[in-house]
Amino acid sequence: MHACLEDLLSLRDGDSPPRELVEHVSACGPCTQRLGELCLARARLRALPRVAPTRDLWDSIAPRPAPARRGLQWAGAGLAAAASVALFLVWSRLPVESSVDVRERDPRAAQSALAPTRDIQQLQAVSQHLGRLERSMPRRRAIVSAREESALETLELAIASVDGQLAGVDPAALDPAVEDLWRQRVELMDALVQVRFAQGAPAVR
Amino acid sequence: MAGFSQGVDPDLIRRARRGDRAALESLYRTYRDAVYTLALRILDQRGAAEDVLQETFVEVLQKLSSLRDDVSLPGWIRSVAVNKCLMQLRSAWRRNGHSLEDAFAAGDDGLPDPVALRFGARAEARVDLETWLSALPPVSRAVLWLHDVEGFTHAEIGALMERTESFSKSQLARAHARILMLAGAAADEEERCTPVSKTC
Repeated sequence: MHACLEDLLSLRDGDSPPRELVEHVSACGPCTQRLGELCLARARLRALPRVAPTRDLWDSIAPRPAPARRGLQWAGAGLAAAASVALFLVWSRLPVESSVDVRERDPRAAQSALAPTRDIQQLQAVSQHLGRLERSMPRRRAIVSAREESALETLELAIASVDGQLAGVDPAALDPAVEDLWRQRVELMDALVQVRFAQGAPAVR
Repeated sequence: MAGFSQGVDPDLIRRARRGDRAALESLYRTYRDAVYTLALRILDQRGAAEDVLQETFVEVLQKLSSLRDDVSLPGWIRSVAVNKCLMQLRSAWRRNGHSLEDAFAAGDDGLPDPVALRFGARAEARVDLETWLSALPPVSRAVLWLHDVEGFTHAEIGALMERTESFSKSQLARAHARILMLAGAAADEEERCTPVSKTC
């Protein structure tokens, strides 16, 4: 009967094993070999190289002086963000509900109800409002998690991508593809405002 | 220990306690890789390891003034980092709809099929210890790293995980059993794939 792994590990780690165990292992080829493998595995684990993070996080860790009138700024930003999100939610929910209602009332109207119901100017206005709000918010609090930073980068890249596509279309065009781009922009801006707002809020643990 | 044995100049710690930004940054850079490596080995996810690195140093810098013994600084940083890792481990399981209890009970749950791993690894022409470490269940991997590399005792690991000493021992044995199995499978495969000379 060979020694079990737990016993061999305790032998490897010098945890005062029973004398019978020591005698068995020293006389048993397979157990001695396994003990050697366990020692080797530990040595190889310890020899694994140290790894450096792929990006420098010091800027997000370094302590910052508290800005003056911070409380007032946050109160304003918080209210504005809440208002913005509420505005967006009201705006974004209505067309979906009305489309369903219309389809239920008259299936023949489904096609027209599914077509864009809000004009591009309205989307542009919401987008601009969110943009102003986002620019007015503090950039970061003292502690910004790596995931938040990554989320911000992703959102900003996505917004830049949509802006790039919008730059290539006729500003007066009213086709659904353009409206869809503006809709995407509003959704992305809304998400950005929410992340910025979350940054400003006290961290929840 | 992966870099936590490195001490720092007491004067640097004194300046860091006073809030000297350069000293704080120097402390961060001294232990940055050690904390990140610990987190990466335990969590096996770069994003989560970066979070641990960040949260660890935010806490360390905030509470540095309360540290009484300069010599204990590396050990303190390591224990903060380990706690952050275990919190990540718990939250990761919760996010996936499991509790850490499930992870403890499941044992081998989440392990890839060793045969698939073997052939997958052969296809990538890279089977090494890091791959096997990644293939371990999160709790076993954490115990293995904390015990075999960082030098925590089973009693300490049991306490950190709110479990018993014997739980830590069985998780360590489980981790090694898996590594030995994967190493054996890889060796078999290598042997089978070794070109045989056609001439005697």
